[in-house]
Amino acid sequence: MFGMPAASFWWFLSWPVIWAVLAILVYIKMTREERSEEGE
Amino acid sequence: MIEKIVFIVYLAGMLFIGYYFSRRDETLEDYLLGGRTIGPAVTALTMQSTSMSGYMFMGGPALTFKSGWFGFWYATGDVGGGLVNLAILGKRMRRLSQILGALTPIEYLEKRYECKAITIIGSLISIVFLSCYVIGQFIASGKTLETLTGWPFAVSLLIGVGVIIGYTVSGGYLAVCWTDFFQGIIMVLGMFGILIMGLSRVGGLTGLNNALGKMDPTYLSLWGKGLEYNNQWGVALGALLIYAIGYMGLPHVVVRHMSMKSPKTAKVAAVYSTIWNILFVYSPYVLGLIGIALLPNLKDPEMVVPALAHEVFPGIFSALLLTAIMAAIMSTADSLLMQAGSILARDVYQRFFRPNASQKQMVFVSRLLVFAVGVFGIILAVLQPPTVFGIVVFAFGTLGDSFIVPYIAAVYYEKANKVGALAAMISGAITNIIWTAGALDRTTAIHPFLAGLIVSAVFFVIFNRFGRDPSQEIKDAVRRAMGVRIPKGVESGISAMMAPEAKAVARFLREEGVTA
Repeated sequence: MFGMPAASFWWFLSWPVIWAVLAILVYIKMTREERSEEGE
Repeated sequence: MIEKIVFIVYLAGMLFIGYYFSRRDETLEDYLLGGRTIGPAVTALTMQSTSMSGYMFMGGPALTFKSGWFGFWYATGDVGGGLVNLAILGKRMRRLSQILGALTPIEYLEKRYECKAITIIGSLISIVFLSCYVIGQFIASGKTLETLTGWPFAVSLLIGVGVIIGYTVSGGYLAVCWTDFFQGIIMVLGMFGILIMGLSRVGGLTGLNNALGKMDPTYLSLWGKGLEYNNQWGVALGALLIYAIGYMGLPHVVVRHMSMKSPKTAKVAAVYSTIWNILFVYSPYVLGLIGIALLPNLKDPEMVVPALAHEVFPGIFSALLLTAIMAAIMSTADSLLMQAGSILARDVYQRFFRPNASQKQMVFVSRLLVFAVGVFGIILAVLQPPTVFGIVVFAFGTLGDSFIVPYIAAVYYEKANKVGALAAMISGAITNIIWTAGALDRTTAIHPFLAGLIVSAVFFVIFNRFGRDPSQEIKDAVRRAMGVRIPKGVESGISAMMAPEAKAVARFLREEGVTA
């Protein structure tokens, strides 16, 4: 784990992945909302 | 020498872009919001380069230089700040600001909450703390130029402030957004390039951590060097949240929602922001750690990145980093000054002193503020310069604690009223100021930002009960901003119920010969 204690690794280095997944989910959610608002 | 040449070329390029786009400002909406024509890529990069200030090259690296990996509590939240901001406020604030016809974030709050006092208090908080924030950028520019050119601090400060002010007053909002866009690209390229160079010097991330572990194993812990914040989850959570949600309370950042081309811009901008942040945000914090290994005797921790550039990566890399640092400082400072100036001109001068003020007069008032902040900033920085980290976290936290709750409630709770909003703004600001001034985080283990946010939210919930509901017009506007639609089942039900009457009306019209 890059020479780090496990706690530091998971608390700090996993976040970029979490944020990237969240960004994709937000994109999908907003696209669905737009479709529903446009009445498709 | 190469640093100076690259820097001069960069400045000339930015001035040209600023001049080119400033010629397009024809109306007040053009000047203050770029005519609401900003697309997703520019929205994302102007938002992020504005958000990432000189703090990222001074305050953030200084924190990891002093405390080790503990500084990453700030970085992890910061990576998601743009996404959170655009996902929660983006679309709704864009819609509501247009429905209300608001051109500044304070005017938006006044119209939403139907309250003049919000303008007075909101303008006061904004102008004071945006100015504090910009002074942090002035100090950062002075320190950077001092290290990389060898000029005395006072001379470097004068040149840095002069460049920032001259460049800001040369254009309007559209110019600011487009220069921010290019500065955002320079920042991420410069920072990422230097990070790779730096890591290669210390044997990669593993080599760096091994070196830090040998010096002091607590550098690698969650709680700072010497376990200074051991198990203080209130401090860690506050550090994580300040940049994850704090941007939603910054007038110069949320104005980016109001200037988007359409509400749909938010979803693409959210993805671009996240990609940019993942590439950029961690880098300066890692450079702070690299500084521990390569420059252990450095006197001023805030100079770790410029010192690395100067001593470890001379030549073109140093020039690249200088440009990236100045891009970060200028892209934030111009937005801060532009916003503070717009609030003074539009929300104070035109609103209370001269309702018929021309655009020329308003621009003059706005520039007067820019000049005054510049003079005050130079005096403060020369006489008793605060740390960039200290002043930025303080100003950022106070703005965030004042405005996050009113901005979110404005578009998520149609019954949010002026009493609740005012209570949230005032209590949030005061709590952050008292908490910071009294260093209460030491005794309570709660970060000032978190304390202010909790107090602001509680005051909003309590005091909103004492205010009258907003007018029906505002409630309807909020519902439209939410994108509330009549459910399909209800629509078809209404159609079925109305069908006999519709047929009767059609028959009557046919019989009367009104229709064919």
